Amino acid sequence: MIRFALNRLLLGVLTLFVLVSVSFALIRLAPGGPFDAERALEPEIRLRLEAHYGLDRPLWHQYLAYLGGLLRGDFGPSFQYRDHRVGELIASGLPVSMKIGAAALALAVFLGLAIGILAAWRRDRLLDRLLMGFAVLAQAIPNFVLAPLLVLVFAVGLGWLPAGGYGDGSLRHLLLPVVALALPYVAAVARLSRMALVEVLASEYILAARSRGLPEIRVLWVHALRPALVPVVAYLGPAAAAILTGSVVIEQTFSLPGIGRHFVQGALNRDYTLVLGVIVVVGGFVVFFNFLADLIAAWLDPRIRLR
Amino acid sequence: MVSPIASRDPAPPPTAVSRRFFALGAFALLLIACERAQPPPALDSVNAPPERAEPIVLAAEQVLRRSLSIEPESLDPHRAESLQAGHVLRDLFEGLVAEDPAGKLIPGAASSWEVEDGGRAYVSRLRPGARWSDGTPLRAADWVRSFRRAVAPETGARYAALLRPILHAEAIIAGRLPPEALGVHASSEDLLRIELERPTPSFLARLTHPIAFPVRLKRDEHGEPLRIPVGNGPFMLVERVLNSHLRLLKNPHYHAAEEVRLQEVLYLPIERSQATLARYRTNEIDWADEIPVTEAAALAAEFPGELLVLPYLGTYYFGLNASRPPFSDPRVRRALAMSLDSRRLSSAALFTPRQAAYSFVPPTLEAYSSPRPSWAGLSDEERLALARRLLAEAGYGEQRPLRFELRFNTGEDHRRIALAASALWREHLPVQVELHHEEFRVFLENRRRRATEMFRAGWVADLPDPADFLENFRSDSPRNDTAFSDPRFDRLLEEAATESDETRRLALLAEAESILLEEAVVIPLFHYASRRLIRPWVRGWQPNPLDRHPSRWLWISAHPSPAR
Repeated sequence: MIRFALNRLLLGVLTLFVLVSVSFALIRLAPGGPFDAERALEPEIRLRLEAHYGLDRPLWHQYLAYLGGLLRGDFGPSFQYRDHRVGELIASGLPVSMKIGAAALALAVFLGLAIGILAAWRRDRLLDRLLMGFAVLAQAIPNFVLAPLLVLVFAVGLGWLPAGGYGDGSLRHLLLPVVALALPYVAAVARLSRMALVEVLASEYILAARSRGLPEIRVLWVHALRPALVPVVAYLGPAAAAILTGSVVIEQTFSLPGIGRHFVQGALNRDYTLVLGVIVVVGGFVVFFNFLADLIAAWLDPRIRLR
Repeated sequence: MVSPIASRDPAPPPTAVSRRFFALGAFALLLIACERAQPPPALDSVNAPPERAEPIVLAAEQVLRRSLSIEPESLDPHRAESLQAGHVLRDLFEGLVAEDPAGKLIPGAASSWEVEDGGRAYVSRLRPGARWSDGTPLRAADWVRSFRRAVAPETGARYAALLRPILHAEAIIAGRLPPEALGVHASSEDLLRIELERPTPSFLARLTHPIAFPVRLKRDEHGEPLRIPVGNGPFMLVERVLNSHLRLLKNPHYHAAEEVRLQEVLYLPIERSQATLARYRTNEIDWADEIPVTEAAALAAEFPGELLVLPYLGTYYFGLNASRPPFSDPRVRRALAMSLDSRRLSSAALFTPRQAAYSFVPPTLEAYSSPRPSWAGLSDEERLALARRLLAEAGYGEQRPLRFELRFNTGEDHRRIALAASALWREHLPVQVELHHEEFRVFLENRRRRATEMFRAGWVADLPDPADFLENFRSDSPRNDTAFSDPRFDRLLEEAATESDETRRLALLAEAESILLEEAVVIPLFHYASRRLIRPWVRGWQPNPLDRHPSRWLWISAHPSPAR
């Protein structure tokens, strides 16, 4: 198990390194620079700015300098937010994204599993059809439609909740974004867990359990659920990384100060260091959660360890 | 209260169907047909602030919540660049000279000034006992350090060039002299002497720009400014959460603090216009900037009297790259310029002919009368005939149509405008326009490298001065993307810069502008107007040429709590 874990960890670090290198190359290949604006700079000031940010040095030099900074935990200065360093921007945005993400993730896991189990238990009956119908719908509606719709109904129409903003980070402000963020994941978890459960329930050892006269509920909870969770966990690994690192659409629609916004806005602004910083963080999350999912899956199903 | 839209203009907003067509922006011809068929759009009347003469009754809670369409990229006055950062900075800081609600220059941090040496020096008397918002004294030496930092190339200030009239500023910006050589000196603790290269009539207006604000630095003049900036303006920043809000409270140390009515200003950066509108509807903001064109007519109906469309000093235009064919031929440029009916274009693209541009410098400047190109006096038929003849002379006709590429940065408004323009040209001339859009920074880089043929551009003035528009086309300007180079034009600008008589100066500038229009390297399409929603209880603002509305003048009138 430890060997397995170390193996995966090493692979993860390597993945991150490749990710940073490719992203660095890609963003620097994009035409247009961070200092281009409708009001063009005086040539001398442009030179000084480029020198200040090290853009006047050869690209390989900049790349090595950036990697060196990363190893020391320094993401560099932001090109767009010149009063701030990228590390600060991430430190202020990440907790917000993670708070909303964690709530959405919890909702996705618990509500999703509950729906999935309920549907599997009542498979092919009316309740199953209704729940799965809801899940298909929830998964099909993109969040750039869902989020404004929620605002329109619950903020503008009914006036129960604010239309946006983080406020003091209270439930009132977070309810709509969390629901909008979680709903597609709730649906995905529900469908996955139902599918896996139904499959497991049809297998021979469950047949054996039933033939021993075990009650259906016990079969479901004790014997079927654990193996059925493997695909759900495999899905939740990367999904958790995506949820926790902020959704651009949700954060823009609700004007939330998370790091998801920095990704798109940073790329448009050619804020090289900010975009790379966000990539490193998101990449780190993806690697970590995949690693975690691998471990949990291995724990859930010993066959995985042997492969 | 008076409701200017509902009462003056009974025209219904466009129907849902036609609005959808506008929004799609796919068929420019159809779009123009729609425009013809429709009654004058409702937006036309929305250009004046509601006139209110009631007595001042203050609301108990003097809190203003303003939207910003982007997060201010910096609160360092020297490094900030966006209009949005400018709004916040004008609340946090004050230059030597300030503006009243109508944009007129008034004493700011300087209580008075004297002009010496025939306009070559300004001696400002700083207000006695002036303080930063943290209570520490603000002395003449602080101003000297701030001005030096503004022009030092290390600071990397995009707007450093606004201070170019100051003695040696140009050489310092270019790195030829140290910042200490700048002609700004503290004669005593409260006397600041600024020497100029030569008399510059627009100099006082330049001092209202953030580049001329005092910046409190950590230690020495090469130090970095403070993280939560300490300013000298009517408000002070007490809380900032990036991408969430900026909370400003009234600054008790401000010299005119007793005149400032607002106790608190909350700036909320909201990127999406739909999110801005939702939060205006739910009364989370009182002041919503940058309302999309396509929404305006419907919003005017939804919020009678609250949608304000106010012209300001900015021009949207097409630039023609004179350094490469086909636009190296002035006949081709003129033909396209004279055949584009900016009135129809403005109607089609902005749903109002009101903003149509006939000159490059907007007509909003009182003392300056913009010239018209020579073809302005011709009838429509004569102009089109002349345009066809010019194109024929240049070798283009039905057999060999003029092909060119019109580039714009990705955006629904730009697309609609480009489509409308190309449709108007194709209607009358043997031309084939290829529309091409690029992501903003890519577009700007290509423009700067002069790799484009015809491109969209916009200029928003930083000074109420025609020179601010025209300087961009000097042959040595870094912003001259048209590659326009005309010694007559350069000479006129040079003469205007040294002309101390204001009437003469404006006449020289008008002459320069007429060359610019006649050479047709720019095709002005329309002048900018801001579109914003302001709740009727927000008072104290007036339209002004640069569309600046510092919170210093604003207040909240007593009003019933809004019904939902």
